[in-house]
Amino acid sequence: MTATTTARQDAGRAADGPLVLVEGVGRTYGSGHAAVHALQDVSLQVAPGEMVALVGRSGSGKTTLLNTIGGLDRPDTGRVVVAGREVSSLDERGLVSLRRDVVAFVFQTFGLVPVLTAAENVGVPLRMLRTPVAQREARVELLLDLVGLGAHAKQRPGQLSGGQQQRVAIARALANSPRLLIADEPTGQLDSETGRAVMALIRAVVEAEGMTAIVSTHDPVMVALADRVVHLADGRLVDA
Amino acid sequence: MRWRSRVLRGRLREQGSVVAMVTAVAVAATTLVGLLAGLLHLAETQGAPAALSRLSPDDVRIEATVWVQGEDTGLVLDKARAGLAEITGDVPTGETTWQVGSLRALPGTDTGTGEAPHLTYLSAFSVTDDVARLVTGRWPERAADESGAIEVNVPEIAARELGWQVGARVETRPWDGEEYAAFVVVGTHEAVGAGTAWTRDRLNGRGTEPYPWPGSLGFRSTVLWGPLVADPSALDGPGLVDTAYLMIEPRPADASSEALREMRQEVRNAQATLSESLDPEADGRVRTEIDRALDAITREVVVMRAGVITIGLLLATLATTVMLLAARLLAERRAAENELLAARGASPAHLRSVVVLEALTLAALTFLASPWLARAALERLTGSGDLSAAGYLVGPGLPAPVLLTCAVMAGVLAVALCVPSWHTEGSTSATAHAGLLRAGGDLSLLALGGLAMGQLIAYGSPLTGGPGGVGVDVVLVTGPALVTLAAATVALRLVTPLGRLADVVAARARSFVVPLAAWQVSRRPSIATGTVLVVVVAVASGTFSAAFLSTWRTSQIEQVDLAIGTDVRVDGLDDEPAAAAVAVTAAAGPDGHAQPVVHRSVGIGPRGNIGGVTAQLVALDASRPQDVRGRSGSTPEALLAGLVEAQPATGTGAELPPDTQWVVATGVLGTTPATGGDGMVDVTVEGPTGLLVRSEQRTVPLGEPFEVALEVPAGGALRVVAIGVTLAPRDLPPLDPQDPLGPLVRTLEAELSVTRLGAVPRSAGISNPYVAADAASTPVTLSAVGWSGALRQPPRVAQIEVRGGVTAEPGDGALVVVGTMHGDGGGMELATLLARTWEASGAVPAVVGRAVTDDLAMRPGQDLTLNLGGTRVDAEVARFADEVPGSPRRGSILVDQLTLARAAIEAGGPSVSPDTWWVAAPDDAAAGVSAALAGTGAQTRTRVELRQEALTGPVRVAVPATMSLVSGAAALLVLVGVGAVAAAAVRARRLELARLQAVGASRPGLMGGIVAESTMLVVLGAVVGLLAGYGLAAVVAPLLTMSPDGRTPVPDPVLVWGWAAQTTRGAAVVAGACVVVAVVVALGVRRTSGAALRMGDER
Repeated sequence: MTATTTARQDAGRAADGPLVLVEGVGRTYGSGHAAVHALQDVSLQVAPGEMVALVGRSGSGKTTLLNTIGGLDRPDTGRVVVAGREVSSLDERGLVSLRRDVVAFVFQTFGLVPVLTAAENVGVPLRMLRTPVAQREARVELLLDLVGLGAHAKQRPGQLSGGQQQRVAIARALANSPRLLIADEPTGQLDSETGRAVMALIRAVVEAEGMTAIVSTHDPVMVALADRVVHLADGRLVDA
Repeated sequence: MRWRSRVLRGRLREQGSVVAMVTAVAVAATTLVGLLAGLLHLAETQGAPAALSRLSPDDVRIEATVWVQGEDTGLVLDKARAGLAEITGDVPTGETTWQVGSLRALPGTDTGTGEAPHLTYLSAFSVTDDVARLVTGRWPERAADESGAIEVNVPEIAARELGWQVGARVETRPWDGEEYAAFVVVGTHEAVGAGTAWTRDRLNGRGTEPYPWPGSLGFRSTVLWGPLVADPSALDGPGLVDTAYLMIEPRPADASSEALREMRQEVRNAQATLSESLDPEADGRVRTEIDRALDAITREVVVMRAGVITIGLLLATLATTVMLLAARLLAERRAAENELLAARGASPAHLRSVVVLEALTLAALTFLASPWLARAALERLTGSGDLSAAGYLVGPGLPAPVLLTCAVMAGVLAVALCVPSWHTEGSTSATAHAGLLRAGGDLSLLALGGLAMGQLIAYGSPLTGGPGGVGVDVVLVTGPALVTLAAATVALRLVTPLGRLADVVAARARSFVVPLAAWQVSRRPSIATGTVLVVVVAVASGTFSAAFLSTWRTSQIEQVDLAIGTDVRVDGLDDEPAAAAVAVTAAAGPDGHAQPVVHRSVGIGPRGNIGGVTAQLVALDASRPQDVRGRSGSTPEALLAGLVEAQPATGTGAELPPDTQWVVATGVLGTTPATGGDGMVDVTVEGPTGLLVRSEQRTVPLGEPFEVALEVPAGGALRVVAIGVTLAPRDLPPLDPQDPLGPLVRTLEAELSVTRLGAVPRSAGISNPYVAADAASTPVTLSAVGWSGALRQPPRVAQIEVRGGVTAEPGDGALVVVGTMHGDGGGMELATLLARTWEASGAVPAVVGRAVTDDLAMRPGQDLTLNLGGTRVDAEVARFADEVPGSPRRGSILVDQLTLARAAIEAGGPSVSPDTWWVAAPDDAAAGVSAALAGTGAQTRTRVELRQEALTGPVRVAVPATMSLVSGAAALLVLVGVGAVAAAAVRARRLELARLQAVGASRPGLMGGIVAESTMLVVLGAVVGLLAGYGLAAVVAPLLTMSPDGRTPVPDPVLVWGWAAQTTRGAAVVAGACVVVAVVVALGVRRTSGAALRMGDER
């Protein structure tokens, strides 16, 4: 039984409920007087196929919430369930499985491996799944075409613009057909025009791939493209 | 300043582990180099004195022989003392004297014989256990007793023979005067170790022997007894002493090097200094070996220095490389931080000052810690093992060379930490290094290394000779280090193509781990620099050091084995050869085997033409190759094959009863036609060791019966193996015009008929041959079976052609030897007839050393003549050999001892006395041989001791210690270096690793990728390092392997390189490095987190 098959079964089991369930999550950094309450009693549900925009001022806890959902951070209180898996209690192997099969990240700083070409970067998640070479190359080509970078497959990140790099990052995020796309200010380092294009791309691929997306952003364009907007202020949900 | 210290404190707080790691690496590297400097310093300052302290008194003694010439002995000795003090200068010395008194007659010993009275003499010397043994009474304690009689201690043999009891009074007078003096015997003694200190004695410690009467030119003889040992004060005053020996024994180990240098200079003019100081009262001669001993140690120090520096430079290179890698780890981080600080307004000067402050702080820490750690390591290193046995001792405080070396290393660290911050924006040390490579720096290094190696090969040694003596060529000793670095740069050039190859493979792979490694290697080759560099240098250094150590050790052992030739060598036995054979055989014990060996300089040349070429003759028992030592793995059987083929088994001839002293031969010697005149008869006996001893000749009349007694040595079971006669016809036979050979030919037939052999035992106490001839003797069975004859012309008429033949046949219980000579008559005078128990062997087969063939163009089968002190022996070149056991340095000839001895006797010469004795004995029994011969005056050298000395002598022991140190340190440093590089790589890629985890990479997968990447680089480095180490070892190790005195070793050193062991060593380095990388990566690659992902783009 492959990991992909397992993911599909997980997704099937969660089909009736929300893809993402956040219940009473709290996260505090430090202790005593220096304690910073990044998240306080946050509860949130995201339905499959939904695109949620997470907005809030800098330091409001957006990234912490996204990292908690994606298994990059662990909540001090509450629980996070993604595609039927309780993320907050997964061990290392479970988290690796989660990231390979269910969740994909798009970072503000793109997060590409600088020594790899665009195609190689996109192929990284497929290599982790030991996808056959021909299948991997076809998938990479498809994804790069999808993000409009078919002609830049052999270029390294340093040879691409910021927008192009972010599109490569999106293509990489889509490589293993995740159920949930987590994008942390994906347009934060892009100019507004490029940012809009990237946002439009995310919206398009979410719809095309039928995935769920949680996107933290300040960008009103992104907010406008989202199915739902969630506000965070001082680690609390203002409205949901 | 406050801002700078705040920044520093902050960095220390936040990055304490990194700073600590860099400091630790720097301290470790500096400590190792400091340790090496300390070892060299100890070898220079303590090895040489230790070697000096081990010199025997014979090596350092400056001995003045002063002919007092009737002057006051005390005055002359004072002058000699002053002269020698000028020579020794500030070197502490000890002093002994040996005074030999004038000859005095012993009145009464001439009574009734008409012969000259016996003689005696006084002596005064320091009596020690190794010189004389008190038998009875005491030693003199004052000049004379109350009655005015001089107190003397007399030889035991004199007391026994002359009836001198303790308390006896002996009247003496000068041999040429009438002033009587009385001596009183207070004790008796026996000489110990005759032949050493006793060489100063008139009788060499023998106590008595026949002696020519003074002034008679040998026409009148008497007997000399002595010495009569007296108190030195008894010899004060003029006219009492003939010869005084003043022995100054410098203690070089207690002298400053400056004082030793001055003494060495003064020794050059020692004779002139002594003569000047004695003039005009007396004459003197100075003799010393101290100049040679000091020069030998000086050369040994230089040889040691060359070896230690050459190997040490490799360690220094490796240590510096590792330290610089660690420094780069910190410097690159600082460079990145500085850019950030610069963006926030910090000026370049501010930033640089912080970098300098931090660099100086770390350098200071390194400098403060390393010397003490190096000292502690040195103390531990010298606390046991060979260095401890050699007398190395770490004194209080820090040796200056250690401090200096650590200061230099700390300075290098400081510079390495500062340099990256001086780079222009966008530049890093990695790109600077890449630039250096592009600029051809590596090629320059390669050229420099090649040049140094070429010179080293051309010169054949890293030593230079000059007017100031032998020295170390600083350029040549850097050759191996330069070549190692060059090999490392070549390896760096291989990283990219190797990476590309891996990249191609990675592209077709499904997995992620191996491709991750391949991508890093192929696309970030600069990151590979550190790993490859350190591994190449470490493996090359380690394997080279190990191979050099093996080569050096093997060569030293082979040099010793070849030089000594056997297990134990016994020289200086003063006994008669047969008695010496008994002593050595007894000392050899049941597990050993002793054999006499002739080892002397002889003249050689083509047959009949001696010429002026000399060679070292080594004659040993060629039937016992198992007793011969030489090059490891060599086969003495092959070397000795054929030398003994013509030699029949020993044990033939007439067996003498045990304890035989005289062989009484009865018979007739005659000639046809009768010529009148004499013949001189002798016998040759063979001892159990195969030693032939020819007796003195006794004159018998030609044409008349004779009965002569011939003295044979004491030597256990002896057999008469030859009976010879040298003819001295008074008249030559007439010319025979009818002789078929021609009208000017004379024919002479000589016949020796021995009708009886008798043996007179030693217990009969007969010392006179004429008395022995008349004494009752035990008949000796003499069968003619197995005997044959020989007729040889003596050397002085070698040009005269003599033809003839000899037969030996029984007749009425007699052995008859008949020889017929034809010639012009000259060769008939002093011709030798010989009946012997061996067949004529023809020319003596000889193995000829290559050095001899350089002087004389030779070919196998060529006839030679050996001149053994006037006896010319025919020899034939059997084959050539590179070197001859026992005599490796000189042009040498190797023959079978018994074959040579028989040939010499056939040639009419005296028996060939052995010059040395070889004893083959198990290693654990060798010391027993020396112990058994203690007190006999013999100098024994055992192969075991010489090997030990060659490997662990106080000076040279530093060389193997350094090689072992480098070999071990290389393994340690490669682990430290690779670990530091891995830590830097993990740190530099931490964000990338976190992102890869975020997209699904597992932590074990990432760790595997980094370990795989390091493994590729380590394997590449190990392979190149192994090849470089082999190349270096093959070229350099034999060149750096020298004899202790700095000469090319004999035999030639051969590289000892075990591919299996060296490959295992390389594999161990790879495995160890991979383990270290795995540990470092496991500690460095953490579970990814949001915090890690927020760190921003890596640099």
